[in-house]
Amino acid sequence: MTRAALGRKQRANTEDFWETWRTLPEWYERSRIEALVDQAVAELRSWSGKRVAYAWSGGKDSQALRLVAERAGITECVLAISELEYPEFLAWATDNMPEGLTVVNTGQDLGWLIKNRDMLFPKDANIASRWFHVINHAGQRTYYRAKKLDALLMGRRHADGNYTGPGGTTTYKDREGTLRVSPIAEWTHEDVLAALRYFDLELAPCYGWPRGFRVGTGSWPARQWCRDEAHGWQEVHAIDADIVRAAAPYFPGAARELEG
Amino acid sequence: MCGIFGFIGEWGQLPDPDLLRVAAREASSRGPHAWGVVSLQGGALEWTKGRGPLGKALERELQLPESSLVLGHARLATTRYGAAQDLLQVQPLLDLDETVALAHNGTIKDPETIRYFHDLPPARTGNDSEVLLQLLAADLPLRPEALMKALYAVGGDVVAHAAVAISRDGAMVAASTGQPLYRVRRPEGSYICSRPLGYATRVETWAGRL
Repeated sequence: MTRAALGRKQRANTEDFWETWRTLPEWYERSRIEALVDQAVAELRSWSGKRVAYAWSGGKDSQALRLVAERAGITECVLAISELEYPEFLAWATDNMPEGLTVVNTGQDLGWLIKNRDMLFPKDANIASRWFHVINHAGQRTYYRAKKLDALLMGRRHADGNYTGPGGTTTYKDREGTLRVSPIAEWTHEDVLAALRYFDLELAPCYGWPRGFRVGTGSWPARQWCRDEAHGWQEVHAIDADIVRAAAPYFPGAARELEG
Repeated sequence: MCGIFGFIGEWGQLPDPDLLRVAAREASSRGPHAWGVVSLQGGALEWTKGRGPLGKALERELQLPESSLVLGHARLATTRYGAAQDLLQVQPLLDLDETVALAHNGTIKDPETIRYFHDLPPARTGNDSEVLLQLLAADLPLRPEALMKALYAVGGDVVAHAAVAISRDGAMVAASTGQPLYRVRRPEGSYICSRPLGYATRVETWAGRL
């Protein structure tokens, strides 16, 4: 690689990601991502004979994870959703789903959001992490237990500041007993984008939405780093006006956004 | 995405209720929003449907129908925000005179334009899959090549689809342009499911008749 590397997505500009996506074949050697994929697949083969699945959110990291997992013969995976998803994302997930996908709906809906108004457009990292806890982690835990898994592969990466294990290791057991393994923990953003480009994996529509690479996948009220609530409604309105219309009777900010 | 399951009996036999429940539970893992089941009862297609995951309904009180022709669907709603609560959109969908029932997994872009070009009547349900049912119902009797033709007419050459249809006269057809669909043949008949059941074979096109 000869370009300046993208920083953490929390700081990087979405336009920088798109520029990297567009120009990547000009400067990123295909052999590098092929070697990374081969290495990750070889490491995953050590799990042969165990009950292993992977977490698939439809995001770019989980698409890269899907690539290495499926090449290692691991085809079962889980997508955790709530009742607060963007229909366009669900349609994309339908068109692009892995064959072994199970969907777990953790059930948070508008009624739940009305009772948990502090969860709307997270104002800090604690609330953002609560979203992951009540949807992603809860759904993954349900699946892990139902399938009696030995390990769940995650698309977590150090370049995003994700926790993958003590001291930067890539395996740990969480408090609920789920053994989480992060096979692409050391991959850079460029490596992930290269995996998608060179192996013809689709980017989810959310990356084309406002601040797409920064926000990523997830339920609509979990959009992070909005300037304020009005900004959150404005972005959701630009993505899917039906969502704001459905929320308007219960959230004055949504009603104000519709009034223009 | 959605889950599909079904059964057609050999010489009118009934399904193994345990295996049919397994198929329903497996299909449920693809569609958490709503479910529907259509079966042939005394020469008529009868349906039952509900909101929420099919797996939960099975755990509670739902008994799958005793019939030699069964088609079920577990839905993940993708048509518009709030559609998950709309029972009118729940599949399997039945045509106007309840001759054919269809269970579909896939997304159909711009069904109104497809309707316009094929001179089809307006939608009744708001479900994008309805246009596929309309195309199929306009090309009876049920044949796998007619289902495949309908899948291609709704974009099956661009995105992956899978569909299974049954008819009042005792036929079942199945077709896939990429979405997973499997069949297991047992002495009592054939089971269809979106996920593999035991020694299942992948379906591209298939047809069965009572």
